[in-house]
Amino acid sequence: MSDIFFSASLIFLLRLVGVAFATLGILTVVRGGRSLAWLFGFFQALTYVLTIGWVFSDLGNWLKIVGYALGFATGLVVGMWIEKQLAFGFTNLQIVSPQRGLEMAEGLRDLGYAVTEVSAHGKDGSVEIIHCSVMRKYESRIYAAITKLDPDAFITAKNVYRIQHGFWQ
Amino acid sequence: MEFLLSPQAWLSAGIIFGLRVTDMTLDTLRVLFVMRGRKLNAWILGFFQALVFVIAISTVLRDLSNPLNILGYAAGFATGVVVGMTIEQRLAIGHVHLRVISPTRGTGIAEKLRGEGYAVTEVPARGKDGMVTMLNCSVLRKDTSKVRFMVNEVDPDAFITSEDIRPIRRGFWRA
Repeated sequence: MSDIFFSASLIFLLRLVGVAFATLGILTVVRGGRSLAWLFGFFQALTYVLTIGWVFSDLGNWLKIVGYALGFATGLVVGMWIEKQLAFGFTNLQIVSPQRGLEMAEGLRDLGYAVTEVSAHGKDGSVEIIHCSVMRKYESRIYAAITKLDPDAFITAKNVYRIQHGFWQ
Repeated sequence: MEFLLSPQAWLSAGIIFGLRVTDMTLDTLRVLFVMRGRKLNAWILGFFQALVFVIAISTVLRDLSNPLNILGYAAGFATGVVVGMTIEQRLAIGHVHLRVISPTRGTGIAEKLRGEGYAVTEVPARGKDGMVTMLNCSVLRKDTSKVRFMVNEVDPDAFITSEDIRPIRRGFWRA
């Protein structure tokens, strides 16, 4: 009986590591890192074929199947968590503040972020649109700063690629 | 370790490697097509990808005692990913929106790009040290580096970012 538990947990662990690698692999593919994409892909496929082989060789053993499924699901969450810690890439924020656009721009500049202001019209008159490109890992920090400067500011974020220059802190 | 001397073991590992390279190349391309909403391309690639995958995985699972098969499978997967990435970058399907911010030479950049046939929209904006120009320019993805080069001819200090977009209607894409 302990043998079965051992092999089931081994399947769980290998599957977990494999799926976490898969998540990181997708990220490196999107960002174009070839050698890392190859390495992640290699270990992902290695763990996949080993674990699926052990499950198929003994389909009557439901503990192995459960271990496989649990490993897959946990690996997804672990991969997401690692991705969030790494937070590669860049975000462009568009902030619309009807009343406090200028203070917002100055406040963000004081904190060391580079912002570009554009005058625009909203339903009730002139507003400021503020464009601010930041590294993704600073996103939550800048949200806090914006909310402090104007709790009513409207913020959207989108992923951008850096082509050249910029002040990223 | 007698399997290392068996030509059969090497052959089956090689076949598995080749199958997996093919299927992951197709798969990488498929994901990129799905992201850009190309349904028919995605369907065709998905069909062949699944077909080759089933053949490859069943060949490995039939003989797990041959570690070469397993290594061939993993190496094929990894190589296929990289091959797919390379093909996708060559194809450079899709459209991007370029945002160029230049403190002093915005008009010059706009004129230059327009002279080359690209459509540019200028927006006056304010930066840290006064007025700047924000240029919006939507181009085919494969033209990105060409446009960057032209911008640098006028203002090497311009700040440029790009983002993926989907065209809805009209526009001058200089195709």
